[in-house]
Amino acid sequence: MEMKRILFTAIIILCVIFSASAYDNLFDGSAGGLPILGFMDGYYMITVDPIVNTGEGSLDLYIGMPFNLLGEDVSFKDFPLGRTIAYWSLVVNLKGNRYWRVGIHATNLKYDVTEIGYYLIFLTDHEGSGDDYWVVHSTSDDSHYDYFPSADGSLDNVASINDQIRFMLDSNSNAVKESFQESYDYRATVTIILEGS
Amino acid sequence: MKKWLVISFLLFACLSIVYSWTDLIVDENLNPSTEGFNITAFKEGTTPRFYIRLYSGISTDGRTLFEKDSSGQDSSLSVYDVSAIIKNTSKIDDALILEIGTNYKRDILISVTFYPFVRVSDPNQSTVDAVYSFNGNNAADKGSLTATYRGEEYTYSSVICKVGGSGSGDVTASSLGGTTLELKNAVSAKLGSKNVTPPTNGESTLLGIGENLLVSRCRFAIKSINMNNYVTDEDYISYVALTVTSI
Repeated sequence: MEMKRILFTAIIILCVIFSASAYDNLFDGSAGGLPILGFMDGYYMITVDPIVNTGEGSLDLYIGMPFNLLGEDVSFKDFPLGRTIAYWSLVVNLKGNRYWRVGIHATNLKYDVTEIGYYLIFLTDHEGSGDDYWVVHSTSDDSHYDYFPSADGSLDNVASINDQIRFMLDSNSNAVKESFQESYDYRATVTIILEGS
Repeated sequence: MKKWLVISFLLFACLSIVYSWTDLIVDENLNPSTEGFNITAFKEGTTPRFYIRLYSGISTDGRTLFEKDSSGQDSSLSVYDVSAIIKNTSKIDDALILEIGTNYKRDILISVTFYPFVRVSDPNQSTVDAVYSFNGNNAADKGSLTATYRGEEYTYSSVICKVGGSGSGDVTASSLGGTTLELKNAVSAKLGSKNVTPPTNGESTLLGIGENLLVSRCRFAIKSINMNNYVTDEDYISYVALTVTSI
């Protein structure tokens, strides 16, 4: 009797083990993860990742650089439309009465004697303001910065991760766009500075 | 003993307070954090304009040896002469990297002619034959055929590098003149193989970058030099002639 009980118990244990193995095999190779982003008081950072369009089909043709100035996706429309050319992240968590602001400077697109004005739309998504965007217009003034938020002091802290930076040309007629010099080499520089005290 | 323990403790406490205080001072001012990026764009054209750059080194940070732009010209046929100075034996393994950029939406034919090295101090008499290799059996970072858009490299299967009909091989620069290497940008083949999905939002179809060869890059490694005629620690100079033709 005792022997039977031991045998029965052993069979039960083996069945449980085999069932567990089968269950494990069923989900073999499945893995998941959750990125956790954390920061402390006094932490701040700003990053920008430009998107390169390789044109190989692996990337959406409507994102990245370089892009065609005659493309419909960069023509003037309502904000915040436009072509996504970069991702950016902004995290600011300052304590006390300290303030911060972001300054953005964008030069006109230039090739030879042709200068082309455009808008950059910086999408933000953070607690307090939700989905929002900042619009910057390019400039030929090297010292001109547009600042966001525009008011100083008692500002909400921000944790806006991997939001889009979009590009949109000025409202030009087709005739004006056709008059742009043909080139592969239109370039502009964007500088973003996070400052505060 | 106790006295020293007390003194040590007080010293440690004082240092901790000073350290915290210093930390607070530093923390009072937010050091400006700066980021930035470049925007690159093009306007496609029907007038062919070309751009050629030849530089040494494996990476794009290599020394630029030559840069030429066909700005404002009808470049249906453009010939550029470039020169590459190779200093002593340590430079032999450096790759010569050729970049070609155009906004022209048609095939272009680029002929590259390599000439032998001559000794700078004695250019008329000391000629050294050199062998350039491309797309051959060397390491992938030498002689491989790649293309790039503004610094990002990838394999560009539609660009054909050939010597006399062969897809790969060596080019021998002899003292008799040079050997021509043709680089053909088969844009039409690229178009045919490209899977362009029409937009569903009513916008016109945007031509992909792949249909506008912006920057193509071919690398040429100096495979070997006839060491019998080569003098160590002397500067040698070689010439590469480039011809760009729209076809």
